[in-house]
Amino acid sequence: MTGPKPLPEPSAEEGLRLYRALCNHVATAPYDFAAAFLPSLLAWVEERHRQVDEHLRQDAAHTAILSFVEDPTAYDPSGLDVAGYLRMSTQGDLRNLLQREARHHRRRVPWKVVEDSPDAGKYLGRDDDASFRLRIAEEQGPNDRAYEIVFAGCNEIERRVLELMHRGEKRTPVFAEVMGIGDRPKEEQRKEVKKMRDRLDKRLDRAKEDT
Amino acid sequence: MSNPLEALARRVEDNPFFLASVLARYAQAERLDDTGLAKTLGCTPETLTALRLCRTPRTEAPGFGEDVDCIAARFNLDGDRLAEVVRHGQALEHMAGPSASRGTLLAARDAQEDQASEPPEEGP
Repeated sequence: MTGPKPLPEPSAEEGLRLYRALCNHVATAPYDFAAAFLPSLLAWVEERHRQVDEHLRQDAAHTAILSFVEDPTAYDPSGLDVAGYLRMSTQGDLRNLLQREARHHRRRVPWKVVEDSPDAGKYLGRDDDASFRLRIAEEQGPNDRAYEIVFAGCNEIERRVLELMHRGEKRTPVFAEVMGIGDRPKEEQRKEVKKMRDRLDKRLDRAKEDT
Repeated sequence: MSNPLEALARRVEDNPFFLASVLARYAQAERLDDTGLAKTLGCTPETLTALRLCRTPRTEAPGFGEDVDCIAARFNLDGDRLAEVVRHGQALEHMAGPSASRGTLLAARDAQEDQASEPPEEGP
Protein backbone atom coordinates (compact mmCIF):
# COMPACT_ATOMS: atom_id res chain seq x y z
CA MET A 1 0.00 0.00 0.00
CA THR A 2 1.36 3.40 -0.84
CA GLY A 3 0.91 6.54 1.23
CA PRO A 4 -0.43 9.85 0.02
CA LYS A 5 1.56 11.44 -2.77
CA PRO A 6 3.92 14.06 -1.30
CA LEU A 7 3.21 17.67 -2.18
CA PRO A 8 5.50 18.90 -4.93
CA GLU A 9 8.13 21.30 -3.73
CA PRO A 10 9.84 24.02 -5.76
CA SER A 11 12.78 22.93 -7.89
CA ALA A 12 16.33 23.74 -6.82
CA GLU A 13 16.40 26.47 -9.47
CA GLU A 14 13.17 28.03 -8.22
CA GLY A 15 14.51 27.86 -4.67
CA LEU A 16 17.62 29.73 -5.74
CA ARG A 17 15.53 32.37 -7.50
CA LEU A 18 13.44 32.94 -4.38
CA TYR A 19 16.55 33.00 -2.21
CA ARG A 20 18.10 35.70 -4.40
CA ALA A 21 14.90 37.76 -4.25
CA LEU A 22 15.11 37.63 -0.44
CA CYS A 23 18.76 38.68 -0.53
CA ASN A 24 17.81 41.59 -2.80
CA HIS A 25 15.17 42.75 -0.27
CA VAL A 26 12.28 42.44 -2.73
CA ALA A 27 9.23 43.45 -0.66
CA THR A 28 7.04 40.57 -1.82
CA ALA A 29 9.79 37.92 -1.59
CA PRO A 30 8.96 36.71 1.95
CA TYR A 31 5.39 35.93 0.86
CA ASP A 32 6.52 34.23 -2.35
CA PHE A 33 9.05 32.15 -0.44
CA ALA A 34 6.56 31.06 2.24
CA ALA A 35 3.86 30.30 -0.32
CA ALA A 36 6.29 28.18 -2.34
CA PHE A 37 7.83 26.16 0.49
CA LEU A 38 5.47 26.06 3.46
CA PRO A 39 2.82 23.59 2.14
CA SER A 40 5.33 20.91 1.16
CA LEU A 41 7.37 21.48 4.33
CA LEU A 42 4.27 21.02 6.50
CA ALA A 43 3.38 17.87 4.57
CA TRP A 44 6.92 16.53 5.01
CA VAL A 45 7.07 17.13 8.77
CA GLU A 46 3.61 15.60 9.19
CA GLU A 47 4.62 12.51 7.24
CA ARG A 48 7.88 12.10 9.14
CA HIS A 49 6.59 12.89 12.64
CA ARG A 50 2.97 11.81 12.71
CA GLN A 51 3.15 11.04 16.44
CA VAL A 52 4.23 14.59 17.33
CA ASP A 53 1.64 17.20 18.22
CA GLU A 54 0.37 19.06 15.15
CA HIS A 55 1.01 22.49 16.68
CA LEU A 56 4.63 21.65 17.41
CA ARG A 57 5.12 20.41 13.85
CA GLN A 58 3.61 23.59 12.50
CA ASP A 59 5.65 25.73 14.87
CA ALA A 60 8.88 24.06 13.73
CA ALA A 61 8.07 24.53 10.03
CA HIS A 62 7.10 28.17 10.64
CA THR A 63 10.31 28.84 12.55
CA ALA A 64 12.40 27.35 9.74
CA ILE A 65 10.65 29.49 7.11
CA LEU A 66 10.81 32.69 9.15
CA SER A 67 14.47 32.21 10.06
CA PHE A 68 15.33 31.78 6.39
CA VAL A 69 13.26 34.75 5.26
CA GLU A 70 14.66 37.10 7.87
CA ASP A 71 18.27 36.12 7.34
CA PRO A 72 18.76 34.45 3.95
CA THR A 73 22.51 35.05 4.13
CA ALA A 74 22.77 32.21 6.67
CA TYR A 75 22.05 29.82 3.80
CA ASP A 76 24.96 28.60 1.70
CA PRO A 77 23.71 27.91 -1.83
CA SER A 78 26.76 25.77 -2.59
CA GLY A 79 25.47 23.15 -0.12
CA LEU A 80 22.01 21.64 0.18
CA ASP A 81 19.22 22.96 -2.01
CA VAL A 82 16.74 25.29 -0.28
CA ALA A 83 14.11 22.58 0.29
CA GLY A 84 16.66 20.25 1.87
CA TYR A 85 17.99 23.07 4.02
CA LEU A 86 14.49 23.90 5.25
CA ARG A 87 13.79 20.27 6.10
CA MET A 88 17.02 20.04 8.07
CA SER A 89 16.23 23.30 9.83
CA THR A 90 12.69 22.14 10.66
CA GLN A 91 14.07 18.91 12.09
CA GLY A 92 16.39 20.88 14.38
CA ASP A 93 13.66 23.31 15.39
CA LEU A 94 11.30 20.43 16.17
CA ARG A 95 13.92 18.77 18.33
CA ASN A 96 14.43 22.02 20.26
CA LEU A 97 10.69 22.48 20.73
CA LEU A 98 10.25 18.94 22.00
CA GLN A 99 13.15 19.27 24.39
CA ARG A 100 11.68 22.51 25.70
CA GLU A 101 8.30 20.84 26.10
CA ALA A 102 9.88 17.90 27.92
CA ARG A 103 11.66 20.26 30.32
CA HIS A 104 8.40 22.09 30.92
CA HIS A 105 6.60 18.85 31.76
CA ARG A 106 9.35 17.71 34.10
CA ARG A 107 9.13 21.00 36.01
CA ARG A 108 5.40 20.50 36.48
CA VAL A 109 5.87 17.29 38.50
CA PRO A 110 5.08 18.05 42.16
CA TRP A 111 8.15 18.36 44.36
CA LYS A 112 6.90 15.63 46.68
CA VAL A 113 6.84 13.16 43.80
CA VAL A 114 10.31 14.19 42.68
CA GLU A 115 11.73 13.84 46.18
CA ASP A 116 10.17 10.43 46.74
CA SER A 117 10.98 8.98 43.36
CA PRO A 118 13.86 6.48 43.23
CA ASP A 119 14.52 7.82 39.72
CA ALA A 120 14.76 11.43 40.83
CA GLY A 121 16.91 13.46 38.49
CA LYS A 122 17.41 10.64 36.04
CA TYR A 123 16.35 10.78 32.43
CA LEU A 124 13.95 7.88 31.95
CA GLY A 125 13.04 8.28 28.30
CA ARG A 126 9.40 7.39 28.66
CA ASP A 127 6.33 8.20 26.65
CA ASP A 128 5.59 11.34 28.65
CA ASP A 129 8.81 12.84 27.32
CA ALA A 130 8.05 14.42 23.96
CA SER A 131 11.66 14.44 22.77
CA PHE A 132 11.75 10.69 23.45
CA ARG A 133 8.93 10.26 20.95
CA LEU A 134 10.97 12.08 18.33
CA ARG A 135 14.03 9.97 18.98
CA ILE A 136 11.95 6.82 18.68
CA ALA A 137 10.57 8.06 15.38
CA GLU A 138 14.06 8.78 14.13
CA GLU A 139 15.30 5.37 15.23
CA GLN A 140 12.41 3.72 13.45
CA GLY A 141 13.42 5.30 10.14
CA PRO A 142 14.80 2.97 7.47
CA ASN A 143 18.28 1.79 8.31
CA ASP A 144 18.91 4.85 10.45
CA ARG A 145 21.43 3.11 12.66
CA ALA A 146 23.59 2.13 9.71
CA TYR A 147 23.17 5.62 8.32
CA GLU A 148 24.39 7.20 11.57
CA ILE A 149 27.43 4.90 11.66
CA VAL A 150 28.42 5.71 8.10
CA PHE A 151 27.65 9.41 8.54
CA ALA A 152 29.99 9.61 11.53
CA GLY A 153 32.89 8.36 9.41
CA CYS A 154 32.31 10.65 6.42
CA ASN A 155 34.05 13.85 5.42
CA GLU A 156 32.00 17.00 4.79
CA ILE A 157 31.22 16.33 1.12
CA GLU A 158 30.41 12.66 1.73
CA ARG A 159 28.01 13.72 4.50
CA ARG A 160 26.16 16.06 2.16
CA VAL A 161 25.92 13.33 -0.47
CA LEU A 162 24.75 10.84 2.14
CA GLU A 163 22.05 13.26 3.33
CA LEU A 164 20.83 13.61 -0.24
CA MET A 165 20.74 9.83 -0.68
CA HIS A 166 18.91 9.48 2.62
CA ARG A 167 16.26 11.91 1.39
CA GLY A 168 15.81 9.91 -1.78
CA GLU A 169 17.41 12.46 -4.08
CA LYS A 170 18.05 11.00 -7.55
CA ARG A 171 19.15 13.92 -9.72
CA THR A 172 22.79 13.84 -10.79
CA PRO A 173 23.13 17.65 -11.09
CA VAL A 174 22.05 18.05 -7.45
CA PHE A 175 24.73 15.61 -6.30
CA ALA A 176 27.28 17.21 -8.62
CA GLU A 177 26.58 20.64 -7.16
CA VAL A 178 27.10 19.37 -3.61
CA MET A 179 30.30 17.63 -4.68
CA GLY A 180 31.61 20.82 -6.27
CA ILE A 181 31.80 19.35 -9.78
CA GLY A 182 28.75 21.12 -11.23
CA ASP A 183 30.90 22.86 -13.84
CA ARG A 184 32.32 19.68 -15.32
CA PRO A 185 30.92 17.89 -18.42
CA LYS A 186 27.71 15.96 -17.76
CA GLU A 187 29.21 12.55 -18.49
CA GLU A 188 32.05 13.18 -16.05
CA GLN A 189 29.55 14.38 -13.42
CA ARG A 190 27.51 11.22 -13.91
CA LYS A 191 30.58 8.99 -13.46
CA GLU A 192 31.86 10.83 -10.38
CA VAL A 193 28.43 10.92 -8.73
CA LYS A 194 27.93 7.21 -9.41
CA LYS A 195 31.35 6.40 -7.97
CA MET A 196 30.61 8.37 -4.81
CA ARG A 197 27.14 6.87 -4.39
CA ASP A 198 28.42 3.33 -4.94
CA ARG A 199 31.14 3.88 -2.34
CA LEU A 200 28.63 5.13 0.23
CA ASP A 201 26.18 2.34 -0.62
CA LYS A 202 28.90 -0.23 0.10
CA ARG A 203 29.66 1.40 3.45
CA LEU A 204 25.96 1.38 4.29
CA ASP A 205 25.70 -2.30 3.40
CA ARG A 206 28.68 -3.13 5.61
CA ALA A 207 27.25 -1.09 8.48
CA LYS A 208 23.89 -2.88 8.15
CA GLU A 209 25.65 -6.24 8.35
CA ASP A 210 27.49 -5.11 11.48
CA THR A 211 24.38 -3.88 13.30
CA MET B 1 -8.39 22.76 4.29
CA SER B 2 -7.51 26.19 5.68
CA ASN B 3 -4.79 28.25 4.07
CA PRO B 4 -1.48 27.13 5.67
CA LEU B 5 -0.16 30.68 5.28
CA GLU B 6 -2.91 32.09 7.50
CA ALA B 7 -1.35 30.82 10.74
CA LEU B 8 2.09 31.99 9.65
CA ALA B 9 0.72 35.44 8.86
CA ARG B 10 -0.86 35.63 12.32
CA ARG B 11 2.38 34.60 13.94
CA VAL B 12 4.30 37.55 12.49
CA GLU B 13 1.88 40.28 13.56
CA ASP B 14 4.29 41.44 16.23
CA ASN B 15 7.35 41.19 14.00
CA PRO B 16 8.33 44.57 12.50
CA PHE B 17 10.11 42.81 9.62
CA PHE B 18 6.71 41.92 8.18
CA LEU B 19 3.96 44.15 6.85
CA ALA B 20 1.63 42.26 9.21
CA SER B 21 2.85 44.37 12.13
CA VAL B 22 2.07 47.66 10.41
CA LEU B 23 -1.33 46.43 9.23
CA ALA B 24 -2.16 45.18 12.74
CA ARG B 25 -1.25 48.54 14.19
CA TYR B 26 -3.43 50.35 11.64
CA ALA B 27 -6.38 47.96 12.10
CA GLN B 28 -6.18 48.31 15.86
CA ALA B 29 -6.22 52.10 15.69
CA GLU B 30 -9.07 52.17 13.20
CA ARG B 31 -10.96 49.38 15.00
CA LEU B 32 -11.09 47.26 11.88
CA ASP B 33 -11.50 43.51 11.69
CA ASP B 34 -10.06 41.53 8.76
CA THR B 35 -13.05 42.24 6.56
CA GLY B 36 -12.82 45.96 7.28
CA LEU B 37 -9.08 46.04 6.68
CA ALA B 38 -9.44 44.14 3.42
CA LYS B 39 -12.15 46.57 2.33
CA THR B 40 -9.96 49.55 3.18
CA LEU B 41 -7.14 48.12 1.09
CA GLY B 42 -9.50 47.03 -1.67
CA CYS B 43 -8.54 43.37 -1.55
CA THR B 44 -9.86 39.94 -0.58
CA PRO B 45 -9.13 38.30 2.80
CA GLU B 46 -6.81 35.85 1.00
CA THR B 47 -4.79 38.73 -0.40
CA LEU B 48 -4.67 40.23 3.08
CA THR B 49 -2.87 37.08 4.27
CA ALA B 50 -0.35 37.47 1.46
CA LEU B 51 0.16 41.16 2.27
CA ARG B 52 0.86 40.36 5.90
CA LEU B 53 3.75 38.12 4.82
CA CYS B 54 5.40 40.80 2.69
CA ARG B 55 8.36 42.73 3.98
CA THR B 56 7.56 46.04 5.65
CA PRO B 57 8.41 48.82 3.19
CA ARG B 58 11.50 50.84 3.96
CA THR B 59 10.64 54.11 5.69
CA GLU B 60 12.92 56.38 3.67
CA ALA B 61 12.35 57.62 0.12
CA PRO B 62 12.79 56.36 -2.54
CA GLY B 63 12.76 52.90 -0.93
CA PHE B 64 9.29 53.40 0.53
CA GLY B 65 7.71 54.19 -2.83
CA GLU B 66 9.55 51.37 -4.56
CA ASP B 67 8.46 48.81 -1.99
CA VAL B 68 4.84 49.98 -1.91
CA ASP B 69 4.71 49.97 -5.72
CA CYS B 70 6.18 46.46 -5.78
CA ILE B 71 3.54 45.15 -3.38
CA ALA B 72 0.67 47.04 -5.01
CA ALA B 73 1.63 45.83 -8.48
CA ARG B 74 2.00 42.22 -7.32
CA PHE B 75 -1.46 42.10 -5.73
CA ASN B 76 -3.23 44.56 -8.01
CA LEU B 77 -3.90 47.11 -5.27
CA ASP B 78 -4.33 50.87 -5.28
CA GLY B 79 -0.78 52.01 -4.49
CA ASP B 80 -1.86 55.34 -3.00
CA ARG B 81 -4.29 53.68 -0.61
CA LEU B 82 -1.71 51.09 0.43
CA ALA B 83 0.89 53.82 0.96
CA GLU B 84 -1.54 55.75 3.16
CA VAL B 85 -2.29 52.71 5.34
CA VAL B 86 1.38 51.77 5.62
CA ARG B 87 2.46 55.33 6.49
CA HIS B 88 -0.25 55.52 9.14
CA GLY B 89 0.68 52.12 10.59
CA GLN B 90 4.39 52.97 10.60
CA ALA B 91 3.70 56.26 12.37
CA LEU B 92 1.70 54.41 15.02
CA GLU B 93 4.51 51.90 15.44
CA HIS B 94 7.02 54.72 15.74
CA MET B 95 4.91 56.43 18.41
CA ALA B 96 4.46 53.17 20.31
CA GLY B 97 8.25 52.75 20.38
CA PRO B 98 10.33 49.60 20.45
CA SER B 99 8.86 48.51 23.78
CA ALA B 100 5.41 48.02 22.29
CA SER B 101 4.77 44.35 22.73
CA ARG B 102 2.78 41.64 21.06
CA GLY B 103 0.79 41.40 24.27
CA THR B 104 -0.65 44.85 23.74
CA LEU B 105 -1.80 44.00 20.24
CA LEU B 106 -3.20 40.63 21.20
CA ALA B 107 -5.01 42.03 24.22
CA ALA B 108 -6.56 44.70 22.02
CA ARG B 109 -7.64 42.11 19.47
CA ASP B 110 -9.02 39.82 22.17
CA ALA B 111 -11.03 42.70 23.53
CA GLN B 112 -12.39 43.45 20.06
CA GLU B 113 -13.26 39.79 19.51
CA ASP B 114 -14.92 39.59 22.91
CA GLN B 115 -17.04 42.60 22.07
CA ALA B 116 -17.93 41.15 18.67
CA SER B 117 -18.86 37.74 20.11
CA GLU B 118 -20.99 39.07 22.95
CA PRO B 119 -24.69 38.40 22.38
CA PRO B 120 -26.75 41.53 21.80
CA GLU B 121 -28.40 42.89 24.89
CA GLU B 122 -31.98 41.86 25.23
CA GLY B 123 -34.52 44.63 25.28
CA PRO B 124 -36.85 45.24 28.25
